[in-house]
Amino acid sequence: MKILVGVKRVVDYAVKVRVAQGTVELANVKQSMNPFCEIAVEEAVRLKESNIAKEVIALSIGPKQCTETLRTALAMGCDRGIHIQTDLRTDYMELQPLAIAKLFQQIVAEKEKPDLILLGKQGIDSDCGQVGPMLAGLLQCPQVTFAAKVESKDNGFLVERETDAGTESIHIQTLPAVITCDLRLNEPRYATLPNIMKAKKKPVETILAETMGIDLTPRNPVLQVMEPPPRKDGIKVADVDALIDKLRNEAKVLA
Amino acid sequence: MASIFFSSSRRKILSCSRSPPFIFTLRRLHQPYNSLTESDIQVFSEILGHNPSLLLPASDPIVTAASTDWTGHYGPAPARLLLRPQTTAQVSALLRYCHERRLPIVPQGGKTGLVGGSVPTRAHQEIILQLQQMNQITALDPLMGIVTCQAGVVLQNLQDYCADQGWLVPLDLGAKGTCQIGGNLSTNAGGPYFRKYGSLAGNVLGLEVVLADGRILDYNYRQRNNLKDNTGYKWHQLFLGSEGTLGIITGVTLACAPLPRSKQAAFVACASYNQVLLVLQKARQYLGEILAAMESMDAAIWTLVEASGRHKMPLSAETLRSDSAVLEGGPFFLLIDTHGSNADHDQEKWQTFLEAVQNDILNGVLAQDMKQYQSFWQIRESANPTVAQLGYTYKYDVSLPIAQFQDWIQEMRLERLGPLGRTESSLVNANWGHILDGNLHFNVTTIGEREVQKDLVNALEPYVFHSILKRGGSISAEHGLGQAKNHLLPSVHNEITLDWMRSMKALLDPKMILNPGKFLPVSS
Repeated sequence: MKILVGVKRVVDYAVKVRVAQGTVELANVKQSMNPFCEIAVEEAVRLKESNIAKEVIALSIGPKQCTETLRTALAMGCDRGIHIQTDLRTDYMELQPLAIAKLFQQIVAEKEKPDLILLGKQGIDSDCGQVGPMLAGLLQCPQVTFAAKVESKDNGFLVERETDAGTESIHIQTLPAVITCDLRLNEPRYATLPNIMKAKKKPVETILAETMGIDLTPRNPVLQVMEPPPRKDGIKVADVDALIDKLRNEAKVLA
Repeated sequence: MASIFFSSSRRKILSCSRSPPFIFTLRRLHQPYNSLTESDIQVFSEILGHNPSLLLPASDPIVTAASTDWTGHYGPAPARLLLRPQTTAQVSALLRYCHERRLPIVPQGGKTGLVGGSVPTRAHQEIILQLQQMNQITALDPLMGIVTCQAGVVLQNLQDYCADQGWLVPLDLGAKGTCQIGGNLSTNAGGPYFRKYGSLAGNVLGLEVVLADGRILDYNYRQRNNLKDNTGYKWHQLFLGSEGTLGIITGVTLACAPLPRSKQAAFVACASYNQVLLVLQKARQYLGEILAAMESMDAAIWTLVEASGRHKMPLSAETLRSDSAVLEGGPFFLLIDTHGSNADHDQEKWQTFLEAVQNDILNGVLAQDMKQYQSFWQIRESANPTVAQLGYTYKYDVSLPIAQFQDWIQEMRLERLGPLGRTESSLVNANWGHILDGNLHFNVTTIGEREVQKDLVNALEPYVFHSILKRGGSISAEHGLGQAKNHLLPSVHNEITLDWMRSMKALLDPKMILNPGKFLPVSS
């Protein structure tokens, strides 16, 4: 079985995001692999380690620094990487989920033909969660989002997914399929030094996005980007009466 | 004859200094502190604006908590009262009154010290004066990176505030979420970044101190904030590391470093201490100016942290130990941290370094994002809390030549701990430290036992101190003296030096009201 994993390069999870010149500031800001993509890579590598998959390919879309993100994926155990190079911003400002899904579709349908596509459930920059479902729609194949457990079953997969109402079990009977990964699926491994060294020798193929013949123009204009208003300081109240008064008359949450 | 020694006039003190030892002995024998009276409390209340949350009686459980130090080795010793001034003027008024009335005081910050320096002593039952209300960051010059703040600012808050504007406070410790900058200054705190960013004292540009008699001394704190200034005796440096025995620090002007844009960290495991030294030298050579910290953790502490189950460990001591190359005491773990202005450049340096050390290490893990970077540091910073939870820990914070670390540890284990015949599950020696700075934390923990054990103390002391001094090391690298190590001072310094220290103390605190029983040896 061949698995394709999407890995997105985003502003590091631990970094405080700022707005500059009307957009999210990226210059000199630390960027790393999207945490949900890390989980997807980990799951793909585990499937390979349990002999369910034979090859794992990592795919990343973005500027030349995406090769670093791909090297992390390779150090975690992927076999090779594909880099679709573009200088368009991938945090929703320029390249948006539909275009990303179409780029993925071309790689899946015409180039690699994987049996399983593993993606993070959403990018922590755009927070859209749309590429997985859009890709499955374009491919006309099954999709299970927010996967918390993935098990091989017959010739498909048994996936548990997290919903607001509880956990749901879905049996994917035909492949290829798209699974998007949620937090509880696994804990990604660290990249050990020997594996980092080995990763340097694994092949990474670069394709220029403009040569793929897909319309990449954004469909949704971004009107404004702003920081959330600063949180007001909390207050301490002297007693329960004061609390009820505030809740009733200031916060207006009590009748 | 006794009365002239109680006068605070300088002339009489100078005349006393002709034969100091005699005078100080006499002073200590006749050293009445007065008892706290209702009218004292009235005065304090008045000074603190009759705000009930700023003055707590000894019976309040908060005061009991404030009377026990972090290690639990000291206290709770009863305190007479707890005061929480909100301004320098209030600190001054309180001290002026206490000086007149001869009431002893223990200044207290975050109470994270490890030598019992910030809690009351049974002998004197001091009034606790907490600086926590004075937590304002007054100013940060965005161009120069000079920050001015009050002594009660929590270190982490100061770090976050400065980081927001692109500046790095040149001090970091595991206790950052609780410790206050005033306490850091009073103990001249060390931390892992000493080598790269210099000592805390070196970065202090200005200081505001309230003396025992209430006078407020200001050295470039309120009016002037300059990196360079050579206009007078740098008296403010005397207060750094004086542990509240010469004056109470109420404000500081600190020089910050530019916030590094690129931070990288790796944990590596070495089979032997010789390999550790090789990695250290190569790190200096290949990482050069970006090398910010190198922390060591031995197999014992790594195993304990692993067993606590609180962290996802990047490496396993158990797995590595089975490697035949691992020698006595190994494997050894090193946290290597770099700070730089350009991630691409730093990664190139790291590549060269990792290639250079690949035969000197068993394995290693490189952080791939900031979350991993932070969790590596959390693992390192959990060393102290982990052993503290397991049982009574005998802690020794020493400096010695880096090449001798493991040799000294082996000496302690073979000659002092081994002969006690304890099992591995009842007694453990775990060691970690700021290896780049030559600072080792030697810890002995009695697992499951919370009481101090005489035979263990005798096995360890004074041997630890004598053996360290014999190797030209320091018996307290960064934790200070407090009431834990003040009695050792005569083994470290000669009489001339000790005498000079006592003279300074007499000059600044003739009535001995500031933190009695701490820092300087108490004469019997």
